[in-house]
Amino acid sequence: MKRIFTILPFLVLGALWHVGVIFNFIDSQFFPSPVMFTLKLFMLFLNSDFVYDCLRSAYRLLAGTLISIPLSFIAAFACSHCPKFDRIFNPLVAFTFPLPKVAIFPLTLLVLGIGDSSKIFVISLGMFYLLFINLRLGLLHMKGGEVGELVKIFKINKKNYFFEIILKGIRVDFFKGLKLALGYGLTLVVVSEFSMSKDGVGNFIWKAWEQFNIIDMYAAVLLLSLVGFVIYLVLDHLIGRFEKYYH
Amino acid sequence: MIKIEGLSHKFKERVILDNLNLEVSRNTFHTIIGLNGVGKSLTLRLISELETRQSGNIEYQSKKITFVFQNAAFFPWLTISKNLEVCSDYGKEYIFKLLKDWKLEKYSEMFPNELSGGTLQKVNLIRAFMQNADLILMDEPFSHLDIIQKEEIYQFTSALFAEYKTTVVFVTHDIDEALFLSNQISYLSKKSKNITTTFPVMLQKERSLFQQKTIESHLKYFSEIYNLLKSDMEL
Repeated sequence: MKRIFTILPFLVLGALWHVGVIFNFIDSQFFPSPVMFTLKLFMLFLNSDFVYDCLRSAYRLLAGTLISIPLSFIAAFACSHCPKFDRIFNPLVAFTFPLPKVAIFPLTLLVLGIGDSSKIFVISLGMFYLLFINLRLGLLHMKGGEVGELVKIFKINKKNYFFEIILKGIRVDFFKGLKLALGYGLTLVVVSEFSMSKDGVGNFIWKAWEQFNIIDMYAAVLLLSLVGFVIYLVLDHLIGRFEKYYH
Repeated sequence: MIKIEGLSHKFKERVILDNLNLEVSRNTFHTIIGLNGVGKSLTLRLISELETRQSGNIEYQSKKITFVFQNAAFFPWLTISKNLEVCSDYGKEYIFKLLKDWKLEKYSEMFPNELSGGTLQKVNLIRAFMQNADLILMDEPFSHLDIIQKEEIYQFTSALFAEYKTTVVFVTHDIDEALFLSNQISYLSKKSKNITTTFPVMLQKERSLFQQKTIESHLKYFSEIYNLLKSDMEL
């Protein structure tokens, strides 16, 4: 029953849109019926080039995620356990965080070239900040509160401290950060593929725009929305699973 | 066992403790009683070094100290047995046996938020006593329990104290609780910000809380402490 309420707004919106197109309330040249581009998306999956584009984008997102997770965890752990390092590193993060990561993409193209490296660099950099901020706050909260006092009083050994307390205790903050980071990472994947790229979903959307192939554009955007939606649901489920211990 | 001399502490300009002296001997259940906000918990935090000492001296016979927190603090994402495991050097089997000895084995694979306040506080006590610490500090651990749960947990605490034969420094503002559990009571005064009186409690321990309240000597102790609290309150 809950699932129906999750998808109901999409179905209602899609139905209204479709009716609007049929009765010419909506210009189908710019806003084609959702039925059309949903069917087109299924058709595209029969095309190996599109599947290849999807796999290339997925690879970039995965690589960015796998690079940003350990780096953000190491930095957050160092900040929460070494106040001197935190005093140096955190202002640096605060200073560079507001900078749009896309703005430095041309610079990374110059330094790292037009291959995957520059794209993955920008994606992992963008994801790093969101993961780091969540992990650092979570670890500081843990260390400064009740958990920190328990560790001190019971002289918990380093192995248990790291594997049972830190890694397990930080899961909620980690998944909350990952939810934001993956959303942002997906945006960076597409933007970084718009130019200087020969493949990827971003490149597919750009090419469709150049050829005025509106339905293809909508189909690719729908795919991105669905991927974002699935990520959101999976991570929400994981957050709920680990948050239950606190209530 | 533990000797505190000239312990003073300030928060900004507000003096909380002023030249506090206290001596607790081995195998004593020693209670510090006083009004809310007089610095009872702070005293325990200074003894356990959770708070940095500003002045005064604390002589420990051994620094093997453990703490029973007011809110039964646990790692919420670990089961009860895992919580006990990470807080001690003991393995899973020993912990299960220990929980079984105290009739708590059915909770071993449950998470802290699945237990009632009273049961959680029992596990909290076991965790403190199982460390074989020389000194256990208890910070009003029973203040949020109802009267029936309190009576049960007082018996449980007394049984653990008898079994492990350690030294306890307990803080509370509840006179009945202090009289039920303690061998010795110190009064922490709001007026002078230090301990003004210490006296032994000579009451027979094998009784219920209800029975205790009817004993004449209990009433004598009760009125003595009550008058001290009342005079502090009138400041």
